[in-house]
Amino acid sequence: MKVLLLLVITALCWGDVFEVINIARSGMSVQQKKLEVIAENVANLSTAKTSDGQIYKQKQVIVKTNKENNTPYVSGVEERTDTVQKLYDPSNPESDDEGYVYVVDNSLSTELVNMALTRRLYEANAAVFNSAKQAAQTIMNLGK
Amino acid sequence: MEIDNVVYGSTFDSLEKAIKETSNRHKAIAQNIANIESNNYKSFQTELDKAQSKITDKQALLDNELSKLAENNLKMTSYAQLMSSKLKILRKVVTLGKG
Repeated sequence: MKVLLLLVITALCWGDVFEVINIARSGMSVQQKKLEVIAENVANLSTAKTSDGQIYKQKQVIVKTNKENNTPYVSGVEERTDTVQKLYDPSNPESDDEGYVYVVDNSLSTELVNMALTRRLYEANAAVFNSAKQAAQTIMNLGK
Repeated sequence: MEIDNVVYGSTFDSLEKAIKETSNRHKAIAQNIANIESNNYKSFQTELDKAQSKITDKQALLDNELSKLAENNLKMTSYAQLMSSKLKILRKVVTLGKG
């Protein structure tokens, strides 16, 4: 009877352990996607125009929660419009008919701060993963 | 009477409940950490946590969750160790001191 009880406990905990691992995994992949977008933003800081003639706008990841199993996912990547500045510079060859040029406010410091936070969140999810693994190992050693 | 207590006592049930509780809590903390940035997520909170719910800074929120995770991990390990020693005692009894 006790062995059966032990098996039940093990089964219950295993279910949770796998769920925890799944949650931590999706958390890590969201952070990875964010890092990817930050890398794009930093790499394109000095980009004047994209290949289709538009100015490069900073990108931002939108994170949402899947209500079924409470795991986060990337719902989309949006372009930020608040960093675009309109300057009056008629001598600039890129200026429009009214003499305005559109430039993006380069914000390396913002990106770097975002990067630090993203890395910290990634590490936190990795810590959860490790902790779940350790718990599984402890449960596994119960019968010894 | 003592042996009855070892074999049929309620310690196993209590420990099972404790392990299950910490396991559930582990899951909740994992969800809180993974969804820290989601704008449509309402974090899991116990009554005790509600006192700390005024924290809005992400960094502080994360540190809070990580400390809870460490605490929960230690609890789970100790419950598992207790269960392990309880099982050792049970084995001693059922093998009449030979196991």
